[in-house]
Order: sequence, then structure tokens, then C-alpha cells
Amino acid sequence: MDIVVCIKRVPATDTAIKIAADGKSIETAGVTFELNAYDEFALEQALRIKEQLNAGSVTVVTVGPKDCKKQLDDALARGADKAVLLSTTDWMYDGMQVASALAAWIKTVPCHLVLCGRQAVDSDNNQLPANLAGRLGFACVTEVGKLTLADGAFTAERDIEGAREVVACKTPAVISCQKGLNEPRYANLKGIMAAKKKPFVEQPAQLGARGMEIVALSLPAPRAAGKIVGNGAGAVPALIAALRETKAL
Amino acid sequence: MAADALIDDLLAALGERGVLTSPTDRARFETGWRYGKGAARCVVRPASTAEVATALQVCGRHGVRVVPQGANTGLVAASTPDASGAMVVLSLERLNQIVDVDVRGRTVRVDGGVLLSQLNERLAQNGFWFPVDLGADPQIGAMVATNTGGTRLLKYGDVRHNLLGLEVVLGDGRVLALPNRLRKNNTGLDAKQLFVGTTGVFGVVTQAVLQCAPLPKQRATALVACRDGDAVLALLGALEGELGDVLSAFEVMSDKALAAVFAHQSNLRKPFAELPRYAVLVELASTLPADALALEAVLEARLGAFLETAGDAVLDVLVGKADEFWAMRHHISESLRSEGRMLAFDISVPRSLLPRFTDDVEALLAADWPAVRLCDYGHWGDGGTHLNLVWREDAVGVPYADVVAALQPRVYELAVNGYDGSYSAEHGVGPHNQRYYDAYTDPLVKRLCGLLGDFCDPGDRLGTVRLDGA
Ligand SMILES: Cc1cc2nc3c(=O)[nH]c(=O)nc-3n(C[C@H](O)[C@H](O)[C@H](O)COP(=O)(O)OP(=O)(O)OC[C@H]3O[C@@H](n4cnc5c(N)ncnc54)[C@H](O)[C@@H]3O)c2cc1C
Ligand SMILES: Cc1cc2nc3c(=O)[nH]c(=O)nc-3n(C[C@H](O)[C@H](O)[C@H](O)COP(=O)(O)OP(=O)(O)OC[C@H]3O[C@@H](n4cnc5c(N)ncnc54)[C@H](O)[C@@H]3O)c2cc1C
Repeated sequence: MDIVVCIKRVPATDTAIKIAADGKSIETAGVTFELNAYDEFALEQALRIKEQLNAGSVTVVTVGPKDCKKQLDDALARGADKAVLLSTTDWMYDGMQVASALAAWIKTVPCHLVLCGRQAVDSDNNQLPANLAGRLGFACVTEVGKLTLADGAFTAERDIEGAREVVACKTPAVISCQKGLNEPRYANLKGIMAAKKKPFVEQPAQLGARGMEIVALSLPAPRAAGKIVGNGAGAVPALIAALRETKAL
Repeated sequence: MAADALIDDLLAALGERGVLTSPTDRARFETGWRYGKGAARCVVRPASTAEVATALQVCGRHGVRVVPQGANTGLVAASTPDASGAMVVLSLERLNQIVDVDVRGRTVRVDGGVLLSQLNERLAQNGFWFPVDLGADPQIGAMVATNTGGTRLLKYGDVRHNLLGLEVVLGDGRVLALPNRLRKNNTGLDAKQLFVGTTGVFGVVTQAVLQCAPLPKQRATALVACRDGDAVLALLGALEGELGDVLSAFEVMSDKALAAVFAHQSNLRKPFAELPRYAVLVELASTLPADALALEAVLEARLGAFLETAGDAVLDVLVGKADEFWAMRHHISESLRSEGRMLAFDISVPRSLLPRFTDDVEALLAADWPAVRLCDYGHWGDGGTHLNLVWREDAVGVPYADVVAALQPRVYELAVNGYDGSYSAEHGVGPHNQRYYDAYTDPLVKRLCGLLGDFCDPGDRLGTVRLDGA
């Protein structure tokens, strides 16, 4: 089975976000980037499927600036066979535009299964997997928490409101991966060395038309400062009164 | 509350904020982090050196014993009062100003109650830090009193190495000012050393002058899976030989210690499919920026070369993920406590002997206490091992105190007399290990401490420990 894993580089989750001068994007100077956490589950699942079948290939792809090479190299070190950078100059957030670039490229390679994270934790759009499946004419199962493969067909489990849903699905498919699906492996030194010799392809992304545009970004209002109502046991009545005031009690 | 003349006098001298008497207010000062639980007559919280002196004088007049207390993270029960209810806890938490930073001199003067985290936040503004680094957040005065070691001792040394000057209030309230901020000053006795590692029995540290270090601009971190202790030492030798200038941590974690981490910390993932006998956290740090030195690439290359020559002594190497590797290291202690009963040892032996010493302890357990597990980890670069013993009470079948009474003396004896080691590598002396201090300290040293005590604390008022053997 030939598997494509779509990954995205996102600001580390503990980054203090600053808005850039244009008022529409974030300031990237000084920001540490990392692989989107949900994409780690997608990559790990792809590697496990390949190990289970003892055949096929895992290709990681990203649409983004050249600096994404670090995350692609990390994926190669963990065991992906090939990395593809569909390069752009900008930070990508429009699911439709990214899906168009990915679909255009995926149509040119052998692919039975596309694995994605459930969402990118920076833009939080949660629209790429479905949009991509639509363009490719693939089946789509989102937010999968458990995935098994037997006799060429997938059984996927997903948490829905108040219940666990089990679905069956055949390839070709796009599956988006939820936390809990697996425990992603670390890249080891042998993997890092081996990665240096693996194919790495860079080509400009064929971006389609934009579906949406960010016109403004603002930071949430700062949290109100904490209040010390007193000290020791004597302060308990004041604490209860303060909690009542805020309707916490 | 019944009239208490001591408390009246303390209140008159220090005011309401300076004296805590109610059981709820006292509670957090009465229980130590791992050992030590007692009752205090009251807690005094002086806010200046003069108030520390006054508090000690008042306590002296009333004939009560005083326990200096910092952040109460010490691990030998030295900072908490005994069960008598007669002792006064003297907390430094209100004496917490950073007095000044000498940027060109790269030194800082701080009050004894300043927290390490508070100091480092301030120093970061000048690109510095105080490089004694550990999984707790102690106060500087207490760090002097315990001579804290920590995870970067290998590169930066302990508190003693970084201490330039002190201000100390002696037991009877006299103030000894040693405000030296010179790096060299060979003019006779270096008196400040009397207060380093002597757990507060000679005086209360109210101020310290410290040398700080430039903050590294980059770090590179790896986790190396080693087959056994000899492989760990071979790795240490190779790293010191080739990367000694930038090697800043070498922390060793046994399979059993890590197994506890992954059993109790669901947010941490297992680094290796099978846990090796020892996983070593290796850290390099440099003040050179990444464009002048590709530190991670250097680490990768050297470890790669080592991996090739080490045969099956080294099983796997992971690079990167510093936060996750350190989280594993810093969660060991609490994870082990969740496993059942625990007896902790903070031992050092000449580091070349660490594997043999550890094997001997395992053999001792296997022979007589098969249900007790050895979950060791520690600062092997400095010859230190936190040799923690863990067991389930139902599996051992005898009460906790009996296990301790049987095992503690044997392990200490093995370390001290069998391996020229120390029964307290970096946690200092306290009621938890007083017996062993008495047993293993040279009688001449105890007499010297008695003489120093007569001079520094003539009324014999300070601390929960006796260094004079009395
Ligand atoms: C999770 C954890 C990890 C740790 N890791 C390490 C480690 O890696 N290396 C290490 O060395 N230690 C370690 N420790 C032990 C501990 O943090 C250190 O011993 C620390 O220096 C104690 O500081 P404290 O402010 O908590 O002091 P306390 O526990 O309050 O007091 C310690 C001793 O100092 C005396 N004292 C306190 N303040 C003063 C003062 N101003 N003047 C004179 N005497 C005073 C007390 O009477 C007591 O004897 C660790 C502890 C924990 C809980
Ligand atoms: C050219 C030159 C350059 C120098 N550069 C430096 C420098 O860069 N840094 C520096 O710190 N010093 C320097 N010094 C000073 C000197 O070399 C040092 O102080 C050195 O440590 C003295 O050692 P020594 O064996 O010559 O001792 P001596 O001069 O013989 O004795 C010095 C003191 O030690 C006592 N003493 C000697 N042996 C013992 C013993 N076994 N037990 C107890 N007490 C003893 C003596 O009574 C005396 O008080 C320099 C000296 C010279 C001549």
C-alpha cells in the first residue's frame, strides 16, 4: 500500500503569539516550530501499516516555506521513505488552497491512502482532510482514534458525542487521525543518519484559488489579575464570598 | 490561646506578619517534602537581617531551639521541627530581595530567602543564570546551608564553587558580614566555607554573593540506551574526551526507574521499545550561537561515531526532544513514590566504581529482600546515584520501619566502608541520616564542630542536627 502523510509545521504550543505589523499574520521571528502533534499520529500509523504489510511506501508531504525541511527530515528519520516539499513563500491557512496543491500533486503519484492529522493546531480549520478527499474522489473518515487493517479493508473507530462509532472503509481513502490512535515513536540516530540518504523532492506548490482570506487577527483580552482575599483560615469566609460573587459557588 | 510570653515578645519585635501561630498557618512549615513531620511552637518570618538577629535573641532569652527553613524541599528532614511542639521555625521567605547585579563583574547579591527561580528570572535580563540546577525550587540561603549539587554540577560545580560572599546571623544574634565579591582573596581563613553544607547549625544565612554564569545560547540533548553500567562509563569517558568543553549534563536512569515513570505519567511516551538497563540523558551547552557552532550536529556526529565503535554496548541513540527527556528525569522521584513504599539513598562513590557498587546492592537485595526493587538513577558524571529502593508492603510482609532498619545500615556501610563513598552526596545532613553522621565522621571533625558551635552558636539554639557528636 502506498501511503501519503500530509504534515504541517506549526508554532510550538507554548509560543507566546505576537501579531505581525500587517495585522493579519503572526510574527514568526523568534518562534520555534514543531511538527503538528496530530500529524505525528498520522505518520506513526502510516509506518505501522507499512510494517504490518511489510510492503508499500510512506511519503510525507507538506505545503509550506523551505524551513519546513526540518520537520520533513524528522519524518524521514522516523522511517518515512520519501519527503516532498511543495514550496510556497507564505504561511498556509486556507484549507481549500492547500487541498488543491496537495490534490494536484497526489494525482501524479501512486497513492492508496492519505493520512492527515485531525487539524493543524495553528489555524485550527479542520477542513483539509475532507476537502482533499473530495478533490481526489476518495472516501473520508475523520478524527479516527483506532484503526485496524485486515484483508485490505480498514475498520476505524471514532468518538462521537456520547458514543464510539465503528466504521468500515475501503481504499482509496483519506483518514484524519485523533489523539490516542497510537504512541508516536522517536527518531533515533540511525534513522537520522539514514534519512540523509533518502529522496527529498522540492517543487513549487500548484496553489489553486483562495477560498477564504484572513482579514484581521487579534489577541484575546488579557486575563484579569488574580486577587488575594486574605491569609490563613481567617480568610475562608472572604474566599467563599468572593467565589459566590463570581458565581463559581 | 493560652498566654505565651515567647510569642508576645516575638510579636512585639516582628509584628503580626512576622509571627504565625495558628495551626493552619503553621502547617506548611511543619512537614518536609519527603521526610520530617513535627509541630512548631510558632513560625517567625523576619523581613530583614536585623529582624533575624532580634528573633534569635528573643528565642535565646526564652531558651528555645530555632530551625532555619528555606523552601522546605530538603530531603533529610533538617528543615522541619521535631514532634515536641517546642521549636520555633525561622522562615526566610520574607527576606527575599535581589539586592544588586554587578553586570560587568558577573556577580549578584541576594537575600537568603530569594528563590532560585526568582533569581534566574532576574539574571536572565542580563543574559546570566545561577547554574546550580535541580528539580526543586529552593532558597539561596538554604542552598548554601546544604551546598546543593544538581544536574549541571559536572560543568558548573556546586554552590561552594559559585559562592563569593555571605552575611550570616550567628546563633546569639551577632551579624558576621563577609560581603566579598572578589574571585580571588587569599587572606587567611575563608570563613564563609564554615556555613556551606553545615545545614544552618552555625548561623542563619541572610545574604549571599554569587558568581553567575552566562546563559548558554544553545543546548543539544540526546538519550543514549546503554547495555550496562560499564557502557555508561565508556560513554562518559568518550564524551569528556571529545566534548568535555560543552558537556553540561550526564544523567543516568535505570530501566526500573523509567518503568515507573511510564506507568504513572501518561503524557510521557516510552523512548525505546524495550527499556535498556540504563538510559543516559546527555546534554551539551554552549554560549556560542548556532551559526558559529552546530551543536546538535556535533552531538549527532560524535554519538554516531561512538555507536559504531561501541558494538552492542550502546543499543540506541535518540537526539532532540530535550523537554521530553528532562521530563522523564524529573518525574522519576514522584513516580517511584506512586509505586509503593520507598527508601531513598543519595550516595556517591568514586564514579569508576558505580557499576560494581550497584551490582553489589542488587546482589544484597536478591539474597535477602527479593521483593525490594532497586530503582537507581542519578548524576553519574559526579559519582552520584539516587539509589532508591521501592517495594509493595504486602509483598514484603514486614512494616516499613523494619525494612529501613535492616537495609539502611547495610547499604550505607557498603557505600562508605566498602567503596570509599558518601552516605549523603548532595542532600546534606539531617535527622534522617544523623545516626550515620555520628557513625562515619572522624572524631576530630566532630570536636572541631563542637568548638565552632561554641563560638558561632554559644547558646546551642540552632538547627535540628548535631555536628559535634553530642
Ligand atoms: C524534586 C527535588 C529534587 C531535588 N534535587 C536535588 C538535586 O539534584 N541536588 C541537590 O543537591 N538537592 C536536591 N534536592 C534537595 C533540596 O532541594 C536541596 O537540598 C535544597 O538546597 C534545599 O533548599 P530549601 O530552600 O528547600 O531548604 P530547606 O529544606 O528549607 O532547608 C534545608 C536545610 O537548610 C537549612 N536552612 C534553610 N535556610 C537557611 C538559611 N537561610 N540559613 C541557614 N540554614 C538554612 C535548614 O535548617 C535545613 O537544614 C531536591 C529536592 C527535591 C524535592
Ligand atoms: C615567577 C613566579 C610566578 C608566580 N605566579 C603566581 C601565580 O600566577 N599565582 C599564584 O597564586 N602564585 C604565584 N606565585 C607565588 C607562588 O609560586 C605560590 O604562592 C606557590 O603556591 C608557593 O609555593 P612554594 O612551594 O614555592 O611555597 P613556599 O614559598 O615555600 O611557601 C609558601 C607558604 O607555604 C608554607 N608551606 C610550604 N610548604 C608547606 C607545607 N607542606 N605545609 C604547610 N605549609 C607549607 C610556607 O610556610 C609558606 O607560608 C608566583 C611566584 C613566582 C616566583
